[in-house]
Amino acid sequence: MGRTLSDPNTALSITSLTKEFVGQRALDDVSLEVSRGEVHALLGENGAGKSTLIKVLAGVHQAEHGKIEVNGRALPPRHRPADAAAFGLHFVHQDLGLVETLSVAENIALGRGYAHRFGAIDFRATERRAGELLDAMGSDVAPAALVGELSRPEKVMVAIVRAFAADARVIVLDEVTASLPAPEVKRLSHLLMSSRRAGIGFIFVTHRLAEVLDIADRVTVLRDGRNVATLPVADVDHDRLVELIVGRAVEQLEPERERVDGAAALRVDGLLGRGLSEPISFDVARAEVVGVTGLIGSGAREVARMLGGAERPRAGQARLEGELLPLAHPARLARAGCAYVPGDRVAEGIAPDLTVRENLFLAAVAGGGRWRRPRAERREARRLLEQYRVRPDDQPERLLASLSGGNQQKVVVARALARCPRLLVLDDPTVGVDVGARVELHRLIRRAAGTGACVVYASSDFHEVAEQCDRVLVMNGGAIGCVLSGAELSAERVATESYRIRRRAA
Amino acid sequence: MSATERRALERDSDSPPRGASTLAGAGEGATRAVAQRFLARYALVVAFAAVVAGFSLADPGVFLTVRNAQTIGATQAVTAIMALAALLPLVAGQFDLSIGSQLAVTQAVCAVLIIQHHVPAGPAALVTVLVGAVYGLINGLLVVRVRINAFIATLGSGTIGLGVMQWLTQGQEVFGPVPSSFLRLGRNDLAGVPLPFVYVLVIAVVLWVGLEYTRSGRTAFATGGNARAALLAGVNVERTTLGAFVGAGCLSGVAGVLSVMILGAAHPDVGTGFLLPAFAGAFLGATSIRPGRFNVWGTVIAIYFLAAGITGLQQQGAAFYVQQYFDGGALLFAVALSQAAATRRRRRVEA
Repeated sequence: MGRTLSDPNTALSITSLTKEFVGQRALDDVSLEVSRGEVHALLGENGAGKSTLIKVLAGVHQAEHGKIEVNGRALPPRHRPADAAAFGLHFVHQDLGLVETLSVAENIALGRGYAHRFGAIDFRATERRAGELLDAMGSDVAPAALVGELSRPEKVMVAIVRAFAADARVIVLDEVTASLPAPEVKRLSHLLMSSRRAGIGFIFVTHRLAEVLDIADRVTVLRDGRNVATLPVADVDHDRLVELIVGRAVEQLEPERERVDGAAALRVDGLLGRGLSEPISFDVARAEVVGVTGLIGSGAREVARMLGGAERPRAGQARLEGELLPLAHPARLARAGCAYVPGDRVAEGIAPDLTVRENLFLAAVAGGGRWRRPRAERREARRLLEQYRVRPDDQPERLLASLSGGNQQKVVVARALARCPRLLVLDDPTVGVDVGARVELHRLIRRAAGTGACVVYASSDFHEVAEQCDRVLVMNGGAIGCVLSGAELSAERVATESYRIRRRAA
Repeated sequence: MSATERRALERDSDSPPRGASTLAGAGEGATRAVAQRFLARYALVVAFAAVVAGFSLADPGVFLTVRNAQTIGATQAVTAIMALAALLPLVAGQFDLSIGSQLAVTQAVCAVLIIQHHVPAGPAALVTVLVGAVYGLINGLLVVRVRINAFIATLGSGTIGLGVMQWLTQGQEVFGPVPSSFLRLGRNDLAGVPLPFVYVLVIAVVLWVGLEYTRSGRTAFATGGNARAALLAGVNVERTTLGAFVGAGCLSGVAGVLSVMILGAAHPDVGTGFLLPAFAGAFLGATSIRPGRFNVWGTVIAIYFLAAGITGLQQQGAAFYVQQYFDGGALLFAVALSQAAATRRRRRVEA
C-alpha cells in the first residue's frame, strides 16, 4: 500500500482491490504481487473470490477500489477487457479457446496476425515465426501440426505461446490442468519452467494442491474475498494449504473401507469400443468402489462413458445382479438403477438456463410419479443443497448458470446420488470442486457404496483414486494394464503402472 | 483479449447489472432486486395495460368497447392457439416452421370433409385433429429418427404441406353449407366471453399444468435445456421431442377446426401468415411471467398484447400493413430483450 516505486522485477502488482456485489463483498482489500518469471498459485474454495479477482483483472468486472499495475504501468481505473489485453494481461481458460481444426501456427497467428507476402498470407513465414516463438518458450511442438491432434499439455502450451506472441507480460492460467493426469502436469510444469526465462509472470489457478507444490513458486490463498496468506511454496505442505483454504484443519478421514462381501454384483464382460484395444472385463462387488484410471488416451475414461451410457460400446455387455444393462439406451439405463456423473459438465451434465431445483430433478420430478408437488420438491431441493454444501444452499430457484463451476458440479453429483442408484458411474466427479467440498463428496460417494451400490470411479487424479477406491484398474493403451488393491494401492504405484509400456500378451 | 477469452469470462459472469449502485446497503439492494424481478415478470402486462389505456384515451368510443374486446378475443384465438403450437417444440429446444402449413392443411381437411363430403361435424373435427397429429408425428420422426435438423425438416415438410392443402382445395376457397350448430361453436359466446377465447383459455390451462406440474413437462424443459445432459440423466429425449411435435400438430388441428368454425370456409391463403405472429408471441411471451423461458401465460398475453396494439393502430387510421411491422418488430425486440435479460440473470452474485 505504502509503496510508491514499483520494483522493476514485478510483472503484476495488485493493490487493495475491493469489489462489491449488491450488498456483498466479493473482494475485500486484496493485494497480490507476481514477479517476472514467477508462477504464482491462486487458491481458494469455490466462491472464495478467485474468479471474481480474475474477472476484475480481465476487465469483465470493475473494482470499486484498488490499483492494478502491469510491468509498472497502472491500468486505468474500472478498465475494460481491451485495456487488459493492451497492457499485456492475458488469460488462458480451461477450454483454451484454440481452434482444433487449424494448425499450431495458425492458432498463434490468430493472436498476433499472419505473415503476409504480396498481400496474401504467407503460410511458410507464419509457420517460421510460430516455430521461433515455440523454440523461445522451450516447446518442441511442430508449428504445422493440427491443434486437434496435440495432447492436452501441448495445447496448453500453444495457448500460452499465443498469449506470449500477443505481447503478454502476465498470463493467468485458469484451471487449465483440471483434467490432466498427474504425469502430464509434470510435463506442463517443465514447459512452464522454460517459459519463465521469457520473464512472464504466471497466475496459476487450480484446485489440485499437488500441482501447486510441484509447479508454483509462491502461493496466495483467498478466503471469503480476503487474501489470507501469501507464502513461498517451500514453506508450506499439503495439509497447511488445506488448512489455509478451508480456514480450519480438515481431518483427512481415512475412508472407512468396509470389507466387501466378495460376490460380484456388476459383471462387465468383453467391453469394446472407441479408445479400447482389447475387450475389457471386470467385476464390481456390492459396496465396492472400483477406480479406473490412466493417462489420457489410455481408455479409462471411455470405460466410464460406456458404462454410463454416454458412448455406445461396439461389443460386450454388462450385467447388474444378473440383469443385462441396456448400455446403448441411457434412458433405460437410468430406469435399471444406474446413475452417471459425466466428465464434461457443461456439455453433458447441466442445463444452465434451468433452475438449480430443476437440475437436481432433471429426468423426473422429486419423489417420482407423474405429478410435481411443488412444495415437496422445493423442500427436497433445499435438503440436497445443504447436504452437498452447494453455495448458496437456500436458493433452489436460481438459475444454475449463476452458480460457480464447482457448485454446479456438486449439483450434478447430488442429482446422481439422490436417486440411490444400484450402479454409480463417476467420470472425474470432483473436477473444479474445492478442497472442503471434495472431502464431503468423497464421503457421500463412500456412503452410497455403503448402502450396497457398485461404484465405478474414473479419475485422472492418481491420488484421488488411490485414496478413494478399494481396487483400481490402471488402463494402458486401451486395455487393463494391472489391477491394484490393498497394500499395493498407492498414488505412486498407479503413476508407475500408468507409464509402463504395455507388453502385448503372447 | 481475444473474443474467445472474453466469451469464456462472460459466460459465467456474475456481476449485477451495470449501474446498479454498488454502495447500496444489503437492504436497499434486496428491495431493488425484488422490484427488478417484479418489473421483469410483469413488464408485458404493464405494456399491455399501457397500450389499452393509450388507445382508450385516444379513441374511447371505438377502442374501449365491449364489442372491440370481444372481436379481438375471438379473432385472435386461432393465432393464440398457433402460438401455443409453436411453443411446445420450442420448450423441447426445437423449431417447428411448419405450423403455418399445418394450419393450412387442417382447415382444408375440416372444410372439405364437412362441405364436400358432408361428414358430420364431430367426426370431421376429430379427423382434422388426427391429421394434425400425424403431421406432427412425421415432423418428429424426421427430426428424431432421420436426424434432420428441425429447421430444415419442418421447412421441407411445411412446403409439402402447402402442396397438400392446394391439392385439397384445388387452390379455391372451399365454401358451402356448414351445419349452423358447428358455426355457433365458433361465433357464440359464454356470458359475453366469445367461445373461441374460452377455448384458448382451456387449452392454455391444460398446457400450463402439463408443462409446469408434470413429469412430462420437466422432461420437455430438460430436453430443451440441454438434450445431452437430459439423456444421460435418464430422460427419453427422443420420445419427449416426438411428443412435442405431435402436440404442436394436434394444436394446429384444433386451430384448423376453429378457423372453419369462425369463417365457415377454408381458404388457400390461411396458414402461412400465422407462422410469424405465432413465433413472435412465443418469444415475446418468454420475456415475461417466467422471464427467460418459454411459458404458456406469457405467450397468451403476448398474442393479445400484439393484437390490441395492431387493432388500436389500425383504428387510428394506420395502414393494413402495420401488422407486419408490429409482429416482426415484436419478434426481434423479444429476442433482443431476452438476450439482455439472460445475461443479467446469469450475472447474479456468485458467493
